[in-house]
Amino acid sequence: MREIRMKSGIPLLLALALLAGCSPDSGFNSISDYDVVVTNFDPEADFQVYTTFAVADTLLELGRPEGDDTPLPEWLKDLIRDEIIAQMEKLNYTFEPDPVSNGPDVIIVAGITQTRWTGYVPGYPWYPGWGWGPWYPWYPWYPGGGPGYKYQYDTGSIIIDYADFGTYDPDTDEIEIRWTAGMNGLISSSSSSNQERIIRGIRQAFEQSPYLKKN
Amino acid sequence: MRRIVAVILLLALFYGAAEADEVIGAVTYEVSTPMGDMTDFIHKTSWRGFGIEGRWLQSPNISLGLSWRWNTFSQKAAGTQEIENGHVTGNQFRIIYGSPVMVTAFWYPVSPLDNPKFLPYLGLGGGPYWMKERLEIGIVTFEDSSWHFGLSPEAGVMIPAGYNTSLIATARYNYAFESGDAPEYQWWSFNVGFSWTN
Repeated sequence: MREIRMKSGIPLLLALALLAGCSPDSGFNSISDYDVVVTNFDPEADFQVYTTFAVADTLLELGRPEGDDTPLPEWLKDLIRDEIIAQMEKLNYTFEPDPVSNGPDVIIVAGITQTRWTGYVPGYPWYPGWGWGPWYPWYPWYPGGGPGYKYQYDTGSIIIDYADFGTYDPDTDEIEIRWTAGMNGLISSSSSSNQERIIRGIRQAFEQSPYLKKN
Repeated sequence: MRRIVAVILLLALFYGAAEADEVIGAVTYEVSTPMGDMTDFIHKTSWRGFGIEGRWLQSPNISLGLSWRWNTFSQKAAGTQEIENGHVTGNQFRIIYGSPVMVTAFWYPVSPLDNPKFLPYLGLGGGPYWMKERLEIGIVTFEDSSWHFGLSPEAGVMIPAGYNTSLIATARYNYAFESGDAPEYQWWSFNVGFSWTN
């Protein structure tokens, strides 16, 4: 009798362990659930001294999946540049359309990177059945194992640098960055979804940086 | 791996002790609520927890034993958070795993040997706590695990249900002390389950 009672605790123990030990699920199901916006500023900077700004015409390509030579679409560069200009003007900065002739206080440069993640989840073999003996029924054999599978997904990041143009050194080609924004997320197969999320990310970056605003 | 080793050790003691006299084994389901500074990271009650233990009577009213428990706390968070010289916005999923392995001592005002209809007890556990914090923000995950020394005072009752089996209900306060850079952790556990005696 004692042996059976002790063994009857094992299924309960395993059930509880399975229930409690399984990792909880975040419940994030939408691609946009994984979007992140990070901003960082130079604590020594006085943003009130800057008035005019320009945005670089070129969108820097900081990285892309190997073998992918597709050029970045023009609409993407225009989308990012236009939104940055709109947000800066909203913060009471003045856009300088001819920075070559009239050096601005601030030069903003945006870059983009794409990373492709791939992996493989191995399959599992079949498992034999098991049982306790005459008091308990024998458990059946498990069905055949499952195959492995490969997964792949792309992530993208947009980096925006706000630099003090007055610190540009042509000899070293260096400039001091006063504020940086980074947006990261999964790339959707829907172009319209990606566009909407890019705009939302840029707006969020400026919204969470109220110290940039000119009084 | 540490989970597997702990379960194997406790099961071995459980079965080994079954052959000895005056032994009590128990399996419990645990509901836990964070307390103190732990609530800065997660404040939601955990419904994922379990424990197994063995107790050996040293005298009619005192037992010594071993226990192993597992608690999983999790919580979603969203919005903008301040970081050093900046801010971060994104959905977060926070998880804390807590797993103490304790040496326990319990006092029974009524001896289990008397087969009472109601068996209250008070006790204290002490031993190592393994804690792990996990923060998922966007597609990035930050993890940190640490070992702490901790104590857990406990009060409970066993109610016989026949065939040397009892229903067990306990309340326990877990306190894992600070360890290096890792903060303290503390939580209440309210547990129900079954116990067996020989």
